[in-house]
Amino acid sequence: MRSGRTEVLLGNGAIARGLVENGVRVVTSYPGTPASEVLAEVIRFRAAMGLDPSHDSGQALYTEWSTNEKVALEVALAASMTGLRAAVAMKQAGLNVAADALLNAAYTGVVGGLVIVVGDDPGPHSSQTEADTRLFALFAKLPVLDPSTPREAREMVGEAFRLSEQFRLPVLLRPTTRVCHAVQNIELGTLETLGRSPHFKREPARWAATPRFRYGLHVELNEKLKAVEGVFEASPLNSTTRMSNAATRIGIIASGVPFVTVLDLLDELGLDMPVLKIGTPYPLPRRLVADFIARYERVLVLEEPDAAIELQIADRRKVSGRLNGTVPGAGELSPEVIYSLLARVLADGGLAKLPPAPTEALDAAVAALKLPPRGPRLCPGCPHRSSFYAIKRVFGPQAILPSDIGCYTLGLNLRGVDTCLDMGAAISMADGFYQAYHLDGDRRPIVATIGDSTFVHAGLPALANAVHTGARFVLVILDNGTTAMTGMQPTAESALLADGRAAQPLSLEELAKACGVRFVRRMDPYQLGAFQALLEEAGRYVRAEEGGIAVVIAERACVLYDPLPVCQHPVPVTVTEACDGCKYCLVAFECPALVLNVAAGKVEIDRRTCIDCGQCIEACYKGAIVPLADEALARAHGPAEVVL
Amino acid sequence: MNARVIVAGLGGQGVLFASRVLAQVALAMGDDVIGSETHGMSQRGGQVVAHLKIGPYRSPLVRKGTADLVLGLDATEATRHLAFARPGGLCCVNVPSGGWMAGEEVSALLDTLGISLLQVDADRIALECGGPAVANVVLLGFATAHPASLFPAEAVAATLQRISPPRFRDLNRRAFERGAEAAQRHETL
Repeated sequence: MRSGRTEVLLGNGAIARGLVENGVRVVTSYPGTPASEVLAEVIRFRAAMGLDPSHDSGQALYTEWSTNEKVALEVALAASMTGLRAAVAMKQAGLNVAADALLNAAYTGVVGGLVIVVGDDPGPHSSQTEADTRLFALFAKLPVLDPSTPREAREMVGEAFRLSEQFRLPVLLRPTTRVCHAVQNIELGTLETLGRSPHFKREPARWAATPRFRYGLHVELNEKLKAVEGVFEASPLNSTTRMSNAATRIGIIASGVPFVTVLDLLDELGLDMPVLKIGTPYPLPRRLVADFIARYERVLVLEEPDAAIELQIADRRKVSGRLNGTVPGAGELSPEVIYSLLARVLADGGLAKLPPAPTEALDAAVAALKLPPRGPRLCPGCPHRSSFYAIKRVFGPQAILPSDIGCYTLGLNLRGVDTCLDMGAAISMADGFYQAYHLDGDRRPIVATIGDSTFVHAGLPALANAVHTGARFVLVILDNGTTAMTGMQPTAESALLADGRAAQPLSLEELAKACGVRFVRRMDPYQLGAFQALLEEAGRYVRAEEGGIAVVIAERACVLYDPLPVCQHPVPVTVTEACDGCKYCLVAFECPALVLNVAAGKVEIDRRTCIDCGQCIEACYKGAIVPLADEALARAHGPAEVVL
Repeated sequence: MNARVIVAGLGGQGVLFASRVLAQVALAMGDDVIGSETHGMSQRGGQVVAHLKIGPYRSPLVRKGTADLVLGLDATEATRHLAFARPGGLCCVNVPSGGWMAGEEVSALLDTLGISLLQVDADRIALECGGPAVANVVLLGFATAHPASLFPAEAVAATLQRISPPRFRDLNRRAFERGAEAAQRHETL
């Protein structure tokens, strides 16, 4: 049902809209690019449609930012076992964390529809891997839908719920970054009223199945998948277009974003080539695909980020894709890449010679300029910068610095990060580095850094392990009060939940102490001198005979999340004549607001980006960065801006 | 309307807001719109680019050599995305008063391809308007005032007013108008 109202939605918003319109009652998530916006958009639509838990509508919708993806999936799964529709959203790396729950849920199955939204990141743009969740679906033996646009993603949510309830299986919806973060005008639909109440029906042979029963569930799962494949053979989610050109000898199979990219390209080039769109990569409708391939001499397979469809084609003699090296094995299939693939395949077949892109020479000339890539950096005033600066000062170049996933990975730029593997690994790797060096009696400092949200996500088991096995290192928990990198979601310490209701805030100190840590201290890293002294004390504790792991909680709000503390106590600075352009501050402090004036051979403050945190005063050991005197302040800023 | 647009800049410069204004203009005119945004890590001061396609398109990505309009909020990022412009297309770039530094070869190729490169010191104008953060709106005003613009200036101005948060409405209107004035001065040069 259509409401008649149209909005430009982010792909994640379109997915959220689909969830709410289809009567979802429980939605959980852990933030991770590109899937972070799904839950916030669910909360927005929920409010607009009067589905807040405070309303006694019989359709109330519960949401939560869970502590990690495994927890999120299990919460949603249990809700589905009561017969309600449930969904969980995460990024592809999160599915690794939730893998155990996922693989088991494939066997137990569900009652109410369960849709698992997993954002993949071909490129990668904001991820550690280009993992393909469709291959994960194949591994877990679960159906997966692969949308090409936000609009289709919204439609697929409904299809996923129906499929999930028909076959009592969790169903994966796998958008990629260019769907999650695409924008498109979408006509909003209305709420499907299901009128269900939670009712958990005991069935121990399923919900508490022991290995003896698991065999039977596996047989059942295989039968379900066979039936799902049958449904997919005739599903409108798979379709052929541009089949009129009988003369062509080349066909294209495409899914996800490459499907719409190739359609726009064929339009632009005025080419008529048959395309089989696959919206259901697993289980692959093998007869449909084989029939399509049979019609042509060669078939190009375009899919992201890996080869899930191609891998399921038994006879690949006519198939060109990633597996035979035609399509690059890594990176995004951008319009430019697909253009060059089409050009090559058409030229190989003696069919057509595509002209070079009209701005190819310009592109080459720009490339020849070798413009430096501008990677992300910690913001001016970021408290993590102060923490990393202090860690480097106190522990020196010998220290090993394992870190983790979050904004603070950008501590790389200050040489404050030696490793970044996955969520929580800072602590377990600090443990491992300690154990390895300890074998040789080498007691070099090891300082791990981890964010507040990441610590609760996967750091707790690692910390318990490290304490229990007697590892020694300093752990700095960078507590900025929010999940900053993914868009300021609340953490387990927050007093408010995702939807603004009161939460039971957890204490990082108590969590660390509960893991057995006896040295737990909290300090604002902006107090650079005292913070360095605290780190020194922590280092002494780690080395002391009766010592152990020292936890230092560096507490200071993210300046984007809460700029007020800096605004209320600005410390504007200036660079004096004493600056000799040595660049120490640029390397060691690495603030975007410190810039080198090449002509003058001096460092300057970039007033457009500087937020007057005053932290760089400590970063010049020659004393050339000083607080701006009041009268000088008046001159530099003008009277209007002195009042901050 | 049928238009393909690239907006390029750095995190914090308002790339997404500028492209969302144009998307809302298309929506108000009853056109289909699809595009792609940059979120996540690269937003921390890194490269941010938005693609926008208005008309009967299905893919969110603009192919190099096909954009009618390239908006550059930062000179380096604009240069990096110049080859997205189509022959005869328009590039409007926020350039500090020092001027353009893309080199002779690039300039010659732009001439050959008939790509108009228009520069404006949007940062300075934004500061004069009372907020360095509105350089994106200055650039929008500048680009839509150009005779080659596919976006009607009145529609963009009206949409900008409609979707601006109330406390930025006046500032944004001033910035948009000052950008348009700068474009008109270009015309008389």
